[in-house]
Amino acid sequence: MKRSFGIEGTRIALAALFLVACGAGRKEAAPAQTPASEPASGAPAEQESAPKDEEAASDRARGEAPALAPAPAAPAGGAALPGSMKRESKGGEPLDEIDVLSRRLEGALSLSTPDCTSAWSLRDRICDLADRICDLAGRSAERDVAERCSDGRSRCERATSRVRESCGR
Amino acid sequence: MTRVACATVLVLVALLAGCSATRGSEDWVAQAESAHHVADERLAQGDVDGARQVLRSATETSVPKKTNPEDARVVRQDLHYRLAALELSQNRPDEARRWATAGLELGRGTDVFTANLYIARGKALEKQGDASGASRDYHDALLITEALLDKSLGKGTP
Repeated sequence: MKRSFGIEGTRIALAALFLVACGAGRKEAAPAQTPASEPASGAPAEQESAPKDEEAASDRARGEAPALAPAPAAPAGGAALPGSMKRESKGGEPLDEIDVLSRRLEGALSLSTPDCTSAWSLRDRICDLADRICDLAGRSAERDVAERCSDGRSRCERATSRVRESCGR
Repeated sequence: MTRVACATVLVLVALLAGCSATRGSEDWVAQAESAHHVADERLAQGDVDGARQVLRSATETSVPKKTNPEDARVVRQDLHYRLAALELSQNRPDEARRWATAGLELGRGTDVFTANLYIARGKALEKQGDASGASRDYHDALLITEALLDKSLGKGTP
C-alpha cells in the first residue's frame, strides 16, 4: 500500500509538474500569440483597400516597402499566420477536430459569401501589377515584357469581371 | 507497479519535451515579431543601421527543430522581405535583391509572403534597369495574387 501510494504520489507530482511547466510556458508564450494572430509584415496594409503605387507601404515597413504593397493575407486564404500558434488552445491541447471543423466552415462560408473587401483589394493588386509591368513594357523593347503586359491586362480584366460578378459594384 | 510508474514517468517526460518544443517555436516566432517592433522603433528614430542590424540578427536565429516548416518559412520570409524593403528605401537595390532572392530560396508558396518577395525583387531589378527580370517577378506576384483571389471567391481558376 505504502509503495502504491508512493507511485500514485509520484504520478500526481509529475502530472502537476507537467501542468505547471506547460501552463507557465503558455503564459510566457502568450505574447507570441498576439503577433501571430495578426498578419505578418505587410499584412496590416493588406486589409486596406488596394494601395496605389508608391503609397502602398506596410505599417511595419513605414515607407520602406516596395511600391506595390503586399496582397491581402488571411481572408484570402494565404498562409498568414504560423499555424502552430493557431492550432492550440490556451491549455496547450491541440484543437485538431475544432480546427478541421473551422476550416470546413471557412470553406463553406467562402463558397457562399466571398470576402468582397479582400476580393476587390486582390483585384486591385492584380491590376496594379499589370500596370507596373505595362509601364516597363512602354520603356522596354523586350518582347517578353510586352507579352507579360498583355497577359497581365487580360488577367486584370478577368479578375475585375469575376469580382464584379460575385460582389457587385 | 514499478513498470506502471516508469511508463507514467516516460509519458510525462515525453509530454514535457513536446511542451518545451512548442514553447521553443512560440518563443522563436515572438523573437521575430519583436525584431520587427524594434526595427520600427529604430527607424522612427532615424537609426536605419540599427534597424537593419536587428532584422539581420533575427534572420540568423536558428529555427527550433519542431517548428512547422511552413511557419518557419513565412516567418523567415517576412524578415527577408522587411530587409529587402528597407534596402529599397535606402536606394540599395543590390542589397534589396539579395535579401529578396534569399527569401525566395527559403521556399515558395501561394501566399503574400512569397508575393511580397517577388515584388520587392521586381522593384530592385527595375531600379537596376532590368526590365525583363522585373516584369517576370511582377508577373509571378500577379499569378500568386490571382490564385489568392480564386481562394477568396471560393472558385477555381477559370
